[in-house]
Amino acid sequence: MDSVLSILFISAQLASIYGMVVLAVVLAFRIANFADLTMDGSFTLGAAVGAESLVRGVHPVLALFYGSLAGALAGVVTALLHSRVKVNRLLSGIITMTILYSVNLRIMGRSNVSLLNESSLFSAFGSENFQLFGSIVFVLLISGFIWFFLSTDLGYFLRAAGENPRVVIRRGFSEEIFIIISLFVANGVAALAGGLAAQHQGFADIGMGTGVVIASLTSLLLGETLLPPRSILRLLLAALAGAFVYQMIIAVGLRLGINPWDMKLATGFLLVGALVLKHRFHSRRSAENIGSDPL
Amino acid sequence: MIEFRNVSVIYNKNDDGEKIALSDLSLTIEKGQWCNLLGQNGSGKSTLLKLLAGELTPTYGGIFIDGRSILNDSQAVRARTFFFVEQDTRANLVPSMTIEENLIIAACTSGFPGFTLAKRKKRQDRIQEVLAKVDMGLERRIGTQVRSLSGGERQALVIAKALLLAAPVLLLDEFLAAMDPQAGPQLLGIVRNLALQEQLTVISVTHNLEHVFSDSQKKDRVVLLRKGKMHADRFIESISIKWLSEQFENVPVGAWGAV
Repeated sequence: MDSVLSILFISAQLASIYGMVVLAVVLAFRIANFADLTMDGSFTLGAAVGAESLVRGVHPVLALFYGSLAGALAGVVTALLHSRVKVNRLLSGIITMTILYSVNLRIMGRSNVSLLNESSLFSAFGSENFQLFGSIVFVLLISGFIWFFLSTDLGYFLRAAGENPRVVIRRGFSEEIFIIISLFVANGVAALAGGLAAQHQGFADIGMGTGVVIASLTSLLLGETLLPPRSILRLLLAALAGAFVYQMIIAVGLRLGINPWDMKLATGFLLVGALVLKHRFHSRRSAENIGSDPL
Repeated sequence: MIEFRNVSVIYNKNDDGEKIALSDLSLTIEKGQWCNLLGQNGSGKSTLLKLLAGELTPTYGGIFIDGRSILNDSQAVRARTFFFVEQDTRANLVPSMTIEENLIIAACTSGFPGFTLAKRKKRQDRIQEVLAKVDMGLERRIGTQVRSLSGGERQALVIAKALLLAAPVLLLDEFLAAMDPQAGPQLLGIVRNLALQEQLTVISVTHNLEHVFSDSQKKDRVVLLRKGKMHADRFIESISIKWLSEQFENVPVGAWGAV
């Protein structure tokens, strides 16, 4: 019983942080129709900038903000690589991600920055229960912000531009600006999650972002299977639910003795499995899912 | 008043594959007029619509609205004047968004979209009003995703979108061609009515001669293009469907088209 509770607890704690990357994946993949791999890098960028800020005595909230802003700008780089240099969407993200690896090392000055001696948002909350509560409130606030954002005029146009650019081009707008805005927000949210993850685990590491996009995509597919999204609100809920289920699967797997080295292998299989299931049963269940699907 | 003055469109000019799509065409269409454009494939009908929509620029000649040249108008300005309805509704609708959401995008006409909530009472009222005008029962299904609508319903939604954008000129490019034989004439009747009520100028490209005559007004125009040139320009009261079909029959195959 104890271990079930602890699995639930740790899954909820991690899902409240990594769930934000799933929200970012929603913004990039489902809203902008952009399979954006930048987020592996911008997640780490958020952590790196946030950690360096903390070490230099910046307030934890402000440190998160700096990290998030840096990540958002990385998203703009990817958008511009695609729209101005005409690089394929996937490759644009990979290029930025690769560049960010060096940038992140430069920012941190080494491959790992310890935050154990710094005050963080989590140390302010004290006990683990309060930390969990605080994290959940935070991710719900971010979800609420994204929900509001997508309910504005701009949000409607972002959706339209992602799914059918002709609709906005006909109105005399350029598709580019909407991609820039979507990736700015998506990567800002991903970097925010990175900064939060660093504060939670007590260090920033150059490899911490590797595979977060794949893990988040897996989470999203799981969530969409559980809660077929018919509205933006349900899409966001599906993202959070998927993040929770994914973290549970991982936690159970670790508890069953899967070597942590094999975790990315397991995630890869999980994603492929989810994609196979999705394509096999595509027509019925997902016929009314909202949002784009660049995969 | 829309005026084409000596308009020519030449694709691949100064090239081996040079192709004349429109050749020295002059045409004036009055405000509120319904102008049917007929001719075989390649006669220049669609080229003419694309010129207005801003998807093409003339190689020679000018296009004017009430005496003002529109050639330097931005796409945003064109979009406020012309609304392009083609057979394929995909250029105008977002499939996973609902009827209401698609129309909200059309109702958002004040420059670049901002941070105000998109679903506003005033807009929703206006959307209901427009859907009721289109009269296909869509106003009771505003939460339905576009992708689960029939072809006719989608096209009706596109027309509703045109009304919300309040573009004074409708460009119809075989917009009924993909619809079944019952839904087509019904929607045509609806559009004819709306055009009269809202004083819309309509330029309609069609292959269907019956559509030219059904619910028509005496002063509707019938413009026949042949190889990018004006072949005939009549009021509908002065012609019969027999005369019109003869125009198509008495020409050797390929003579109407430019290729």
